[in-house]
Amino acid sequence: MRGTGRCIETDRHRTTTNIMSNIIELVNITKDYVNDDVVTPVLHGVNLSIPQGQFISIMGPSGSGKSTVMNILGFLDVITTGMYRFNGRDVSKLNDDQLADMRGANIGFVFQTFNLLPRTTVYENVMLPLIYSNVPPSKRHQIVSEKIELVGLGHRINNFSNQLSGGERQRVAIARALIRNPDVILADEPTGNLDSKSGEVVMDMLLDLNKEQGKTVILVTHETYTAEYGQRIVRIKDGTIVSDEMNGHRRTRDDHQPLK
Amino acid sequence: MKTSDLIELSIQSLKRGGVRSVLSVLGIVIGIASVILILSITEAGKSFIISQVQSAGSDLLFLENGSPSEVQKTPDAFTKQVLTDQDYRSLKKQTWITSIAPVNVDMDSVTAQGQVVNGTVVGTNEGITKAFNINIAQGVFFSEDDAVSHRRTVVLGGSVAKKLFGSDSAVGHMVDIGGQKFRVTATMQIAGTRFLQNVDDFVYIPYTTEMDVYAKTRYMEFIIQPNIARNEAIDRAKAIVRDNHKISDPKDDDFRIMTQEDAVKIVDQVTGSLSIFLAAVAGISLVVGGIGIMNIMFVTVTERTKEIGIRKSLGARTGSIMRQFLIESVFLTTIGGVIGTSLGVLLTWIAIQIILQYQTGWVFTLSTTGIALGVGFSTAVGIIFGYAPAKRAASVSPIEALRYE
Repeated sequence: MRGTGRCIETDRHRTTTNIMSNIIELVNITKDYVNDDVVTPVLHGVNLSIPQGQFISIMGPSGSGKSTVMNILGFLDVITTGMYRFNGRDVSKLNDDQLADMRGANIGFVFQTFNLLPRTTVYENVMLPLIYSNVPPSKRHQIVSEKIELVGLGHRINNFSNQLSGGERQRVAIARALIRNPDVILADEPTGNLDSKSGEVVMDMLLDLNKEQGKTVILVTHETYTAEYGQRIVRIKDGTIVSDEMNGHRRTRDDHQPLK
Repeated sequence: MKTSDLIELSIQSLKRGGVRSVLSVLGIVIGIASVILILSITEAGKSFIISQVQSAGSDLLFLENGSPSEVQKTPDAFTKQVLTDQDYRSLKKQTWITSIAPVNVDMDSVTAQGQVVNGTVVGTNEGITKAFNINIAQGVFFSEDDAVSHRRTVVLGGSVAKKLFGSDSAVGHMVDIGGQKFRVTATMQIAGTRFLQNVDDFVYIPYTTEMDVYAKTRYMEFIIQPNIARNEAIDRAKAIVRDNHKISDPKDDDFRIMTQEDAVKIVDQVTGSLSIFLAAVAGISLVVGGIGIMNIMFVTVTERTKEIGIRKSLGARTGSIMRQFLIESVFLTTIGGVIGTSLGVLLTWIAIQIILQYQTGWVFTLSTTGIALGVGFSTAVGIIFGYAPAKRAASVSPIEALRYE
């Protein structure tokens, strides 16, 4: 039953992706974790193509494998079998350094727990990815200030990250994610630790990045409300994709309603 | 990753470390300070001893008891005393000898005008003034005639004269040495130390009188000032003494002739091995300090697992993380090295000031070897003991590190 459903979803999806170029293609990937010779399969043949510029929400309960999918998409983890193409390039067999370079150049991470360095200023946090890039120190200041202004935290630039509110921290994380101008923003439960108002601000920012800058946004969440910001919603359960559909009533900036 | 970035990262984490960073480098600081202190003090001591040897008259020969092979067994109370009056007289009449001063030494109390001082009694002749490079302040040194006639005459060293007679002239007065009355013929100028002994505490009496008073028949040494080339003078003096002692084979020599150069060589050998030994002991504290650094770096790596995960998610390669932590530990130890060097220099200066309270002539000397060794070692310690923690930091998996709380 489940297998049939997946085929249908994939076919329907293909009709949309043939026109646009896919930035991400997962072809029948599996992932096993090996711990003390005990093999635990986590993903059983996941197929997922994400066109450039799409806002896609990945949903699933904890233990479903959605975090593993996110780690693989973000080059934090490697697949066991299958094929992962990023921008048409096979990245399944990259070594650690190549994976690190892919992360730095192509992915902007936004995490549930913000993952800012404590006792470090907003400026230094946002600048961090640049020291692992080829951007010369003389050009950094301008880029960093620009991104901090973009998220509306110019007045907080010299504050320590731990002096900020949750919403502000997540905006710093977004500024940091944008600093190397990546094609893909990978947001893992970005509103999970925020109150509803701050959550909305963060989601609006992701929406704007998608609409105005054409960033591909991959949102991992377990909240339906948040997931509905996406053009497309993929549901994962027990290591397989159980549904993959376009979102007919996509949430926009204007139709905010108070979160419960 | 740029070097400037790495240094900036190190400064940042050092600031965050605060008191703990300071404590962790304490071992290195102490280790390097002691290495520099020890090497500098031995070097200053060596310069002092050499300056002592050289402050005496130049190109002196020291004719001593004991075979040449026993040179380094000083002081040897059991060395057979072989230098006789005959040796003195036969050398004395050589035209190539400018002066020859016999030397016999006794410790005794010197009394005058109710004042008592403990002095060093030297049985000698006027030649001693040339040998020690000292000058008469007042009066006339007792003559060779006084010696031949076994007269009770005495020349007082600068501080002895001052202690016994104050600012009054001592010349012509009587002093009591070992229960015998002596007439003062001269007093010497204050001259400081010669051969590590304060010659201002010396009193000089004729060598013959000394033998009478202290019941001796042999001399401790002769200090000879030749007016010909040194090696030639040594050969001639040896020939004369051998003839007197009826020695045909130089291997049977019961005397030896030392030069100031020989003395410097011995000092070099002794201080050289001493400072190596002491520096090695101090080096152990550097190793202990290094282990302290390794410990703190391991703790740091565990505490900063999350940070490592964040950095990796932002594109840091394994090598970047490795370099960051390695540079950090090198930075720590190098700062320790700089502080330790400054502390070592300060301690050396203080030590020299303290020594100067007891003995004049020491000069504040810094061992450049010590400083180079200290700074070089601290960097090496940072690399060696920072390697394992840095390796561990770099090998952290980004997923686990991000999950770490």
